[in-house]
Amino acid sequence: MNVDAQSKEQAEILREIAEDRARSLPPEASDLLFERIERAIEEEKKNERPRLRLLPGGAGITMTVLAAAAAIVLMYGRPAPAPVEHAEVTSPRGSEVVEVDFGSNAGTHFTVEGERGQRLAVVWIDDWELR
Amino acid sequence: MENRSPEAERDAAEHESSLLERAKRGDRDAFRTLYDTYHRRIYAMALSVVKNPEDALDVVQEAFVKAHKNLPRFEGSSGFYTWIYRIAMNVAIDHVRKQKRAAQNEWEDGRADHELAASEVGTAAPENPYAGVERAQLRAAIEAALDELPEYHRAVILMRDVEGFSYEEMATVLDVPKGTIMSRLFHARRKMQAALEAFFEGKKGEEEGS
Repeated sequence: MNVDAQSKEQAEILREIAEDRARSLPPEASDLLFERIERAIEEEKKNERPRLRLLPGGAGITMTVLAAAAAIVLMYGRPAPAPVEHAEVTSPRGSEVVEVDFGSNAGTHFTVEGERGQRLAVVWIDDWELR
Repeated sequence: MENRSPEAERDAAEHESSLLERAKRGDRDAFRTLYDTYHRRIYAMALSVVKNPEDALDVVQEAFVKAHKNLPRFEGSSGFYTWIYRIAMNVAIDHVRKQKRAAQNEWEDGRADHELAASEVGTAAPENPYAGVERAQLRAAIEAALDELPEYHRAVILMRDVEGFSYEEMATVLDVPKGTIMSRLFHARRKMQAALEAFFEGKKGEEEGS
């Protein structure tokens, strides 16, 4: 038997081994595994951070807004959470926050006065999730 | 690898594409169908790499969870199977590496691998090493030889001989250049050959001693 024939037979046996290994998984194990996968997917979804979408150039505003949100909450206490799926937010000084995706979290938005009297949009995203 | 007519291939591709679209929209049944279609093959590969049924199940789970998460980004430039195979192979290899690190074993680098191959493997193939050996014994020897390979060599043997992947597909799966794949395959085959030679020598010795 030459090397090619050996390789061919070896490949054939490897495929046979793979098929047997694939068949070695009982149907009930397949079902249980899928249940595990679904649970893990649900867990992943729960742990996903909410997404914040801004117009181009709004990244800096986001940080300001979120920092302001934290500061405001520290100063005045936690605002009552108002579950909002999508909120339209605008502010007069070039803030271009037009939509907030709270994901599965609760959240709200409001405006505050900045150092120079400007109005700042504040987006508050709560750390608990809507059920 | 199944041999299907071009029409059957096209129908299967269309069906899979439809399933993927539905799965991307969150259709649980479509995702389940994709799982039912491929999870056993993925499990077989994972078992060959991690060599433990429980760990292989973990690999399948992680691969499908990652696939589900990244479905919206799957553009279909490769088939779903190649894509999830890639995810699963990398999860399996990571798993083995983590285990090795945990056991504080030394990682065999490419040079050591090359030196080992050069020192242990004879250049001439035996004239007829398979003759007279029962297929079951040969299968056991091949299985053992495969298990002895480092995972990155096992991976290329499985992809080439079991899945029939092209060098390009293998390079995509492992995210290495095509030349690396060819080199790994060369060394993996030589190691397999060396392991099988040892087996046949043993068989020959047994026969002579009896």
